Amino acid sequence: MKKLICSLLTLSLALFVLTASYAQEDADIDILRAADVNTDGMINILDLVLVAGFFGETPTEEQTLNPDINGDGKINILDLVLVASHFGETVRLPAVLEGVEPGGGSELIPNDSIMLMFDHPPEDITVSEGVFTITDNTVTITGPFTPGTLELTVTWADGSETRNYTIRQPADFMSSEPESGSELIPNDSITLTFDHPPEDVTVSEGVATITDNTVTITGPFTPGTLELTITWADDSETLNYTVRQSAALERVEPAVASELIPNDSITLTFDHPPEDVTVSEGVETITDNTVTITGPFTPGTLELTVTWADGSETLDYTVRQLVGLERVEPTVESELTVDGSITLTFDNPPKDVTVSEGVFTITGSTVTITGPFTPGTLELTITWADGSVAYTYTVAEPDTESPSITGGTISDGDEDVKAEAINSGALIEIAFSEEVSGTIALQTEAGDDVGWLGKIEGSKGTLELVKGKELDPETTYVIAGKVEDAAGNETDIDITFVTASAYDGIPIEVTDADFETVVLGSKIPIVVDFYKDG
Amino acid sequence: MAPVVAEIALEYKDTFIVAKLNAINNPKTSLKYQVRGHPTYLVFQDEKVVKRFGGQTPKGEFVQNVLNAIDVEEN
Repeated sequence: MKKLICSLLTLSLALFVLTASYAQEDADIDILRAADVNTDGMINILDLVLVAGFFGETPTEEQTLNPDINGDGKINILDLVLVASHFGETVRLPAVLEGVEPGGGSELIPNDSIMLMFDHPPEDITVSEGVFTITDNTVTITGPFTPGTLELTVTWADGSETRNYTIRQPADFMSSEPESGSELIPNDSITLTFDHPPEDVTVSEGVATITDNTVTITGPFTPGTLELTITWADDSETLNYTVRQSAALERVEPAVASELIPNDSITLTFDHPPEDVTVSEGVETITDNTVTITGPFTPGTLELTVTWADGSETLDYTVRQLVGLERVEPTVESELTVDGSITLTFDNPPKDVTVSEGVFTITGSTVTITGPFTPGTLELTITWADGSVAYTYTVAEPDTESPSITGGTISDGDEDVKAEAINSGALIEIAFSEEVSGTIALQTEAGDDVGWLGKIEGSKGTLELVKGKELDPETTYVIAGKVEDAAGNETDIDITFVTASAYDGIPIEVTDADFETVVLGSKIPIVVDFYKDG
Repeated sequence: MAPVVAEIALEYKDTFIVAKLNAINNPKTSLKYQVRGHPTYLVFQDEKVVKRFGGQTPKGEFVQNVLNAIDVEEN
C-alpha cells in the first residue's frame, strides 16, 4: 500500500510538474476549492494525503472533507492529478452570506441602509439598487431607495441574494392646528399635518388618531402647561400649549322663557370664568364666573345668543312693555266714602297688581279699588309689576243723617203768605242741608197737584209757577215731596202754608230771605221802606 | 212818617206796592243796596232800583218820586 501511495505521489508530482503552468492559467475557483480538501486555503501535500488516504473509495455524504475533487463519485488518480496540478496554490475562501439587517420583508425609508454580513469578505459585489461599501465582512447598501417595492439583488463572487423590501415615504411634520403656543381647553383636539402618512405615532398626552397625513390628538388635557411630544417613525416634535379650564354654563337667571321688562338684566353663571363672551343683545359684564347682560331690551320676543370661547347658548325671553300709571281718581288726599272707589288708569294693562286695602278689579288698563274702607286716614299702596304708588285719602264716616230743609221762600206753618208777591216772583224755593235728589210738588190741602213745576237740583228745590196756576189768597197749600242724599238717607217734604188775603194797600213786610222773590220778582213796581225799629 | 207811607200805600195800591224791611233784622239786603240812613226808600221795577230817596219826604214829593221813577203820570 505504501508503495502505491508513494507511487501515486510520485506520479502526481510528475503530473504537477508537467501541468503546473497550464493549471495556473485556467484555474477554476471551484476546482481550486475542491482541491483544497482540508479547506485551509492552501493546496499542498496535506490535500494530496487526504486524496491518497481515501484513494479508490466512494465518498459518502457524511464526510466533512470531500477528496472527490472532480466530483465523479470516485476517489482516484484523477483527483490526485487535480490536486497535484494546483499544488502550491492558495485558494480564496467563498464568502457566505450570514445575515441581512434589516431582514427581507422589512419596511424601509429611502435613506435607510441595508447591511449584509458575510463570513468572509465578499468580492465582485454588485447591487441592483443603492450604493454599497464594504468593510471587512460587511457590505452596507445605502439609498436613496425609490419608495415602493424594493427587490434588491446583491451579487458577489460566490453567490447572490435577492431580498424584498418595502420603501415607504418618510413623514415630515408640516403644521399643527392650533399652533404651538396657543391656548386650549381640556377637551380640545390638536391636529398635526404631515407631508406623508406618519407611522408608529406616539404622543405624550392625549389620544392620537391617524387619518392619512393627519394625526388628531384629543384630550382631555390637564389644565396648565402642556408640553406635547409627538413621536413617529421618522422624527419627533414637541408642541407647547396652555390648557385653560373650559367654562360650562351652569344656570341662567331669570329662567329661560320668562317675561322681562326692557331694563331687566340676565345673569349667567358658569363653572369657570368664561372668555371671549359676546351677546346678541344688551351689554355684558363679566365678574369671575358670572356674566350679567343688561338691557335695554326691545319689547317683544328676545332671542338672546350668548357666545363664549367654549360654547354658545340661545336664551328665549319675552320682553314686555313697562306699564306706567297715568292718573288716579278721585284726586289724592281727597275724601272718600266708606263704600267709595278709586280708579287708577295705566298706559298699558298692569300685571301682578296688589292693593293694601280694598278689593281691586282690572279692566284693560284700568284698576278699580273698591271699599269698604275703614273710616279715617286711608294709606293705600298699589303695587304692580313695574312700580308702586302710595296714596293717602280720608275716608268719611258713613252718612246716616237725612237731609233737612234749611230755608226757603216759605216755612212750614207760615200764614199770611203774600200770594201776590209769590205769584209776581213766580217761584217758591226750598233749601236743603246737602245735595239731594227727589221730587217736589205744590198741592192743595186735599192733596191735588196745583200744577207748578217742581224740580230738585243740587241742594235746592224749586216750584215754578205755570201761568194760570197762581196762588190764591187765603188758601192752604202743601209743598209735598221726598228727597234723598247720596247715601240714600230720605226726607219727606211736607210744608203747609196759608196765603194771606189779597194786597189791600197795607204795606207788606219783607225779609232778607224773601226779598229776592218778593221784591225783585215782583211784576208790579214796588217801593221798599228800609226802616229801623222804633 | 209811617202813617204817611201807609196812607200812600193804600191810596196807590193799584199802581205800586209798598213793602217794609226792618234794616236791623235784615242787614244783608241793606248792605247789598248800601242803605245807611233810615228811612230810605228804594223804588224797584223789573228787578232794578229805579229811584232812591230818603229822610222826611212830604207825601206829594214821595208820590211824585215814585210815579216819576215808574213813569206813571198822576191823573
